[in-house]
Amino acid sequence: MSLTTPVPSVHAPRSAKRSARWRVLRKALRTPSGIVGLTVAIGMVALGLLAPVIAPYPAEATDFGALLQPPSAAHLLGTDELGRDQFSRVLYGIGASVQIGLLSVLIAAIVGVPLGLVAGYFRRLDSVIARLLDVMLAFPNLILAVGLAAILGASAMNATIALAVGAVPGFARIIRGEVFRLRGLDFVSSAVAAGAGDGRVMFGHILPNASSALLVQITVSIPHAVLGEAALSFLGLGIRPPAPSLGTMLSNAQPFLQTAPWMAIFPGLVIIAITLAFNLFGDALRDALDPKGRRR
Amino acid sequence: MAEQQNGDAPVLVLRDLVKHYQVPGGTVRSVDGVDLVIGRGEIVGLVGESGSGKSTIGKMAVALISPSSGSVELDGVDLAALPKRRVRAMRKRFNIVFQDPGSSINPRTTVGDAISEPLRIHRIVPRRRIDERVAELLEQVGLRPDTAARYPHELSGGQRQRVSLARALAAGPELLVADEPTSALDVSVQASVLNLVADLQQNLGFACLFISHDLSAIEYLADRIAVMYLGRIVEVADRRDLFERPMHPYTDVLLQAAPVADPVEQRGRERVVLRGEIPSPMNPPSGCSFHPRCPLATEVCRTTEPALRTVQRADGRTAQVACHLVGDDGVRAALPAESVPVG
Amino acid sequence: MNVLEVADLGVTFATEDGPVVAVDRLDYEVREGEILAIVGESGCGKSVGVLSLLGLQPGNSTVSGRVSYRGEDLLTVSESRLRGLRGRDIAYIFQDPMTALNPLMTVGTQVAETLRKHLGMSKAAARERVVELLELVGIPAARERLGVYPHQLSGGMRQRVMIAMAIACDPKLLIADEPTTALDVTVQAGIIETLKELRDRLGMAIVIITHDMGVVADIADRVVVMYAGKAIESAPVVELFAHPTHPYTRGLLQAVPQRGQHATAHRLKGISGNVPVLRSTAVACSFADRCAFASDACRAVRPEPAPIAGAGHTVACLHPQTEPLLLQKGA
Repeated sequence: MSLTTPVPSVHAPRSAKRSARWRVLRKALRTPSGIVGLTVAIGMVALGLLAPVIAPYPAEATDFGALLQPPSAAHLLGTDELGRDQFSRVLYGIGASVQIGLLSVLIAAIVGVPLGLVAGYFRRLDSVIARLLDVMLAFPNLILAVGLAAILGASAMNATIALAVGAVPGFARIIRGEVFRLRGLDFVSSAVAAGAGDGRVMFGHILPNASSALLVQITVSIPHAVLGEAALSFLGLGIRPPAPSLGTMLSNAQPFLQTAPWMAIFPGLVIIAITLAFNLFGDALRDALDPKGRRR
Repeated sequence: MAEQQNGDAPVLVLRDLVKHYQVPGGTVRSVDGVDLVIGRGEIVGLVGESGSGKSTIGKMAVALISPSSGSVELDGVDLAALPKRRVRAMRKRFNIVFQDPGSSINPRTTVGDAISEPLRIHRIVPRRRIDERVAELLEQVGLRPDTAARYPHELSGGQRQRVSLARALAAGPELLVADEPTSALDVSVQASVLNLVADLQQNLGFACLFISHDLSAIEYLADRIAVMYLGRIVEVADRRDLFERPMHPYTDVLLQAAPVADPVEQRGRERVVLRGEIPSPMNPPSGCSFHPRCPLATEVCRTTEPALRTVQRADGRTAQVACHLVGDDGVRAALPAESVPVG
Repeated sequence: MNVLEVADLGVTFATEDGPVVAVDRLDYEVREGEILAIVGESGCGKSVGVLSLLGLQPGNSTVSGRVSYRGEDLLTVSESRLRGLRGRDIAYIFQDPMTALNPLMTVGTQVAETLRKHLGMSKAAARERVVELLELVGIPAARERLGVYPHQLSGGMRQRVMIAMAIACDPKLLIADEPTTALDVTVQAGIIETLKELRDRLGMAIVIITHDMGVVADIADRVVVMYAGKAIESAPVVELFAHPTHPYTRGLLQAVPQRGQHATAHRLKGISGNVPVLRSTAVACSFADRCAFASDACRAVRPEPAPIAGAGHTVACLHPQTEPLLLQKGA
C-alpha cells in the first residue's frame, strides 16, 4: 500500500474552481471575529429588510396613552415621548441605516474604482487625480458630509450622496495601490504582449485581481457610512422626522436620558452592533487575504 | 551587423538600442547602445549576469517598454516609432514568455482563457473554433486538452511554463522572446521545458531570443550567442566558437566560473576568479566597462570605449567582439594562468 | 571522527490538509574537516533537515530521531544549551543574506556583536577581530567597510559578511544552505573558493546544501543525495559522479545539458512527475512512481541504504544502475 499522495496537479478535482476566493472566505470565517462579525452583520441586514414584516407597530404610529413607557411585553423596547413603539422604530431605523450605508458605499465604489484604475494605469492622469484625492482626504469625512448635507438640504438621498462623496477617496486609493502592485506582475505584461488594449488590461486582468481588496474596502466602509448616517440624522441633516432613523432616535432621546434611558440605549447599542459586526468581518477578511499574516 | 547566411531579411534588428532610467541620484544605464540581429528561425542566446540589461532588451524587443533611443525593427518596421495602435495590431507576430511561472498567468482566468486570449484579440480563428485550437495548442506543449478548464494554481511550475508557451505561440508569432523561462524551475523540470522549446522551434520555425544567465541552457538551445556586460553586448559568436574559443575576456571568465558537473574535470580546471563585482549601471567605468575587473586591461582599455566590431576567425567564420585586445582574426592573449586572488 | 551524526531523523509538519512528512528517517554523518554536500530539488526536505538540527525548524513541525554533535544528543538538550551551540559551535549561512542581516546596523557592529556575545570580547578587541574576519572571507578594504550598512553592499559582499559572522566564533561545523543560489556565477565562484580556503585554514566541517551538481562537483568531499526526505544515495564525490547508481541521482545528472550538447543532436532526459507529498513515513520507494526501473517490489518494500561496490558508497534502491552514464563530453 502506498501512503504517498501526488502533489495536486492536473489531476486535482474540478471543484477547485474559484477556490482561491472561497478559501479566503473560509479562512476568514474560521476566526471568531470573522464568524461573529458576518453573522451579526447578516442578522442586522435581515432585521432591517424584514422590518415591515416583523415590526409589531407602524413606525410612525403614536399612542398618547403610552408615552415614555419602559420596556414591557407590549413594547419590547419601550416607547418614546410620542408613544411610538421603540422596537418597531429601531427595526425600521436599521433598515434605513443599512440602506443608506450600502447605497452610499455602492455609489462611492462606482465612482472611486474607475478613478483609482485610471489614476493607477495612466501615469499622466495620476498626479491630477492623486492631488484631487489628497484635497478630499484633507477634510475629515464627517465634516465633508455635514457640509455637503447642509448645502444639499436634509434628506435621505442627500445624506447618501454626502456620505458617498466622503468615501470615494478611500476606494480610489485602494484600487490605485492595487493597480500599482499588479501592473508590475508578469501576467499584466503578458496581456499587453498578447495585444490586449488598455480596457481589456484594466477590466479583464487588473480589476478581477483587485476584487479581494475591493471587497475588504466595501466591508470596512459600510460601518463608516452607518455611523455617518446616524451622525447626520442626529444633527438633523439626514433622514427627516418623523421617519425613523437610529440617529434621530438618539437625538430625540437627549432630553429624556434621565427619565427614559431606554430611548437612547437601544438605538445606541444597535449602531454599535452594526459597526462592530462589519468591522470585525472586514478585519478577518483582511487578515485572511494577507499572505504574510498566514498562521501556521 | 551580422550577415545573414541565407539572404532572407532578418526578423529582428536592434539598432543602437538605449534604455536609461532617471532615478533620484542619477541615470541608470540599463541598456547602453546595443546592436543585435536575429535571423528567421534562428535561436539567439542572450547571456549575462544580473543587472547586465538582458531582460530590458527582451522587453524592448517585444515593445513592452520603449527605448530611450535607437530602434527595434521587426521585419523592417521600427516598433519604437509606431503609434501604440499599430504596435498592438502587430503583436500577433511576436510574443514573450517570462521567468516566474507563479505570476505570469492571470490567477483569475482558466488555462483555456489564458491561451485563447491572443486568438480572440487578433481574431486568429473563428469564435466557434477557439476551443478546438486551444486543445491543439495544449497538446502541442504536452498537456492534456482538459487542462483548459483548470486554474493556474492547480498546476505545477513546469506545467504553467508550458501554458505560457502555448499562449505565447497561440497567434503564430515569428519571434518569441523567452526571458529566463527555466530559471525558476527544478533541474528535472528544466530539462523537459528546454526540450519543449527546442521541439516547438523545430516544428513551428519561429525565431527566438533566449535570455538566460544559465550557460548550459543557452549552449543547449542557441545557434548564436550574445554576451552582455553592463548594458552592452561584448561578444556575439556561433555557439561552438563562443564556448570553444571565447574572445572577450569576460566571456572567458564567465565560462570558467560556471562549474562543470564532473569533480575530476572541475578540480583540474584553471579558473580566473574575478576581482570585485559588476559595477553599478548608474556609474559605469570609463573606457571599456569591464576594465576594472579584467586581468588583461591596459591603458587603452581605461580610456577608450571599444566598439562592437566584426572579426574573421582563421576558420573563416565571423563573429563580433568589443575588446581592444582581440585582433581582427579573433585571437587574444590567454588570461594569466594563475588565478587572481579574490580582492 | 564524526562531528555530527544524524540518525533516523524525522520532521513532520502539521498543515491544514493534515500531516506532511518533510524528513523521513534520514541518516548521515559529517566527519571532522569535511565538506559534505546535501543535494536535491526543492521540496526534498534538505533545508528543514538541517534547520531541525538546532531546533530552528518552523513551529508547526515535530522532530524525531537522534542528532549527535560530538556525543551530545541535540534533540534532547535544553533550549539554553542549543542557544549556546548556535553560532558558536555550529553556524549557519543562508541563501538570502539580506534577510539574515540587520539593515539598521553597520556591518562592523553586527559582526562584532556576535564576538562580544559569544566570546565576551572587549569592544576594541572585537573590532580588530572583525577586520581580520572580513579580510579572511575576501572583503577588500575591510577596515573601511566596517561602517557601511548591508544595503550598501552587493549580494556577494553581503554573503561574505554572513560568512564572516558565521565563522567569527570558530565553529566546528558550518551549515551553508544554498549559499550561492542567489548569486551570479562569477560571484559564486569566488564564494566557493572562499569556503574551500576557510575549511583548509580553519579545519571546520562544512555542510553545503545545494541543487546544483556543478557546485557539488566543485566543492564537496562527500555527497548525500536527498529525495522525498530520505538519503537515497551517498558517496565520496568522485565515486558518485563516476558511478551514479540511484535512478534519481542519474536523472539529476542527465537533466542538465553538458558542455557541447545541443538540442539538434541530443535530447535531455527530464524526470517526469512531481515529488510526492508524504502523509506518513514511507513504506515503499518514494521514487517508484517516477522511475523507469520500478518493479512491484519497489511499491511494496522501502529500500534501505545499503553499501555497494566502491568505497563508502551506499544506495537505497532495489534496482541500482551500474551502466556508465553516457554524458557526452566535448564534441
